[in-house]
Amino acid sequence: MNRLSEIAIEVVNSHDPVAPSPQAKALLQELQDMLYSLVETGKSASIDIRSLPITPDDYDYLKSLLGEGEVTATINALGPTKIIETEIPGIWWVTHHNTDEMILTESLEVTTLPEILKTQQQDLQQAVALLKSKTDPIEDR
Amino acid sequence: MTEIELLSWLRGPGFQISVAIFVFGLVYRISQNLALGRKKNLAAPRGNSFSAGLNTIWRRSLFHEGMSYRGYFTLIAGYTFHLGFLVTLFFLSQHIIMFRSIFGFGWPALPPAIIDITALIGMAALVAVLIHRIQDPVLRKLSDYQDYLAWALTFLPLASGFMLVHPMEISYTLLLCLHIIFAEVLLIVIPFTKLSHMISIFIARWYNGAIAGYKGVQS
Amino acid sequence: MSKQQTLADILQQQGITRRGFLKFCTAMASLMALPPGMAPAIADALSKAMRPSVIWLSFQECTGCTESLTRSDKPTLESLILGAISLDYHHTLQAASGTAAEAAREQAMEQFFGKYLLIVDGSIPLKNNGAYSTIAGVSNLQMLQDVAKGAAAIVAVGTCAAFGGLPHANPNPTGAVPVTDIIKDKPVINVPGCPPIPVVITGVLAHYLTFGTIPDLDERHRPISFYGDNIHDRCYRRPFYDKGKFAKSFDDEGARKGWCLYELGCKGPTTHNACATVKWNGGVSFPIESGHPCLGCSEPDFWDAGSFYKPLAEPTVDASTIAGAAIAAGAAAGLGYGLYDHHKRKKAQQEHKKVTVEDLGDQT
Repeated sequence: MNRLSEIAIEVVNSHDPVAPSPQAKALLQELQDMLYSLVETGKSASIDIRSLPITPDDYDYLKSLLGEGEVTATINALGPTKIIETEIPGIWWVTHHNTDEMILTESLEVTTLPEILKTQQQDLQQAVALLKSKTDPIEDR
Repeated sequence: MTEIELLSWLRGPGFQISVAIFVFGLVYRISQNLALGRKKNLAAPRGNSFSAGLNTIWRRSLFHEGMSYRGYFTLIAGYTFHLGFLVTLFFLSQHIIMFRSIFGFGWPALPPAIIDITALIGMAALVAVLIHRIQDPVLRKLSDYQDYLAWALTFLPLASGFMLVHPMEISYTLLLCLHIIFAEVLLIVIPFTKLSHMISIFIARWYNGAIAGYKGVQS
Repeated sequence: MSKQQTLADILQQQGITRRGFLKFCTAMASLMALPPGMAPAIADALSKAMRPSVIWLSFQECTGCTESLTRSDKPTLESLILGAISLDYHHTLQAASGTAAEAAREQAMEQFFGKYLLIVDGSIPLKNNGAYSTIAGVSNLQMLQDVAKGAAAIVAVGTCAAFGGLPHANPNPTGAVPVTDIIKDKPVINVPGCPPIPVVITGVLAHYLTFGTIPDLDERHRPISFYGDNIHDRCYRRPFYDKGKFAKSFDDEGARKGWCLYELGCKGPTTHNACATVKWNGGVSFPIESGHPCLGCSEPDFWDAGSFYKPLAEPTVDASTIAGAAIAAGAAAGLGYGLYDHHKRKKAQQEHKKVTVEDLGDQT
């Protein structure tokens, strides 16, 4: 028995294979509306997944339905943040973790680029000084 | 008093008080009925009065041709309401939980979707008989406050219960409190109003059947 | 650390970048149940927010509320927010003790009069002049009244402070009361729960930090964003309730299939809290998800509201004894009436006089 698929398992909690609940359907409808408004007005919007009463099944259903697209990014600030563009361009799955890899928040963003991926104006203000502090010791030599 | 405190009172002392009054009242009405007795019948019996009485209780609950003199409306609305009300009362799972705690045994519940229908049918029939009562000039003249009180006291538990099992903007706790209050007031009022027919109808029918049976007549 | 720093300054000192700050704000928005689009506005407000002074008073309590808040793994939002306030007095957490601790409290009360936030956990005993709980020889009642005078707002954390909780449970030997029974002239925010969800506690603090105001409250002084819904309406097992599928014991087929726990005494329908959405232990689960009915711990008098395992539809008392007595009394009264009636009829019969010809003749 050296392959995972050969290990016998008993499914205790057998549900019908991924039948979306009304909540999941409503969420997908909302995503569609948001996409329309992004296309027409360029307005970004997002949904806080964790604030909705969706079941683990719904969650898996959404994950597999939306899939993973071309872009995957990780931000390391206060723990990792995983940003995945789904198979549907313009819909991003953003998961903020803390340093213990526990999920802080999880949201679906409908936008061309999630705000947090861009270099932040405030950090930029310190960028010159930072670069300078790194190059100065070299020039001093 | 908070909603939870009210609920605790209704599930505790309030429940005891209403059950005590209900049971006392009904037993009082029955024993009073029986203790009043009837004049001794000096004629020789020509049949069994006891079983004839039981037979009448059963037969008069059935639908038969001769009843239509009262008009089909009263008949159908009356039957539908009683069926809807009783099925809702005895076959909703939450009610069975309550009965089990009182009697020590329960029975299988009907699915909520069916109870929804029976409750709605019950309420619709109640609304229909109320409209009929108000519109029919003779019936309106015959009605007094007790008729409307009895109507409201049967309608309110049904309506509040229906709202309770469907998502509403109103607080569940408050609705549950109201539902129990309505049910407990109904219990208290039953023995002392025309709603006591839930018991007296059987006594009256038994007497009717028994008298006929004594004379050897099939009622 | 100077108290004139803004929150953004403090986070920056901790080496947190703007991205980290934005992430923090997104999490805060989620925490306060605000739409995620609010994050930039929160970031704006927090950049200007001053670090508030907080005085935490612990009265008749078990320290469970403090544990709930401080035992979360680092670095969580909770710890970040706790780091963002200046906790000037908390007799369990602070290093100082005795006179020095009380001096710190008095100094904060004086320096930030009218501006500090007062957090209370535990109920206040009133019986015997509050002798049942004192701090540094001062009764809880006296201390609460003194500290509340200069508070901008009061947060009653935990069911004890919010509704009286366990100390208030029948027969309430210490005469315990909640904060709202004593303080009438200040805004009080109730954050009930035994303990409250840590992020709900910090969510209220976050709101105060961000907006400098208190969140929208319901008639029981609870923040609507966290206590607006009952557990039942937000429960992922709700569809089973609607279909009438109930677990009848903790180990039957229904329990294994994750059916509704109503018949096992779940108080979800009458309990207002955020457990079903915010969940516990960093979002792992909440009691119902672990197969246990909701106890209703964030509701007033939850300890006296019947057994935890009695369904809501079930009476909390036994009525059979009283019903038996009622049967006996009813039968006696009915028979008594029958006898009285019988006697009356007999008497009437005896007093009945036949009309004679003479009687008729007199009238002519």
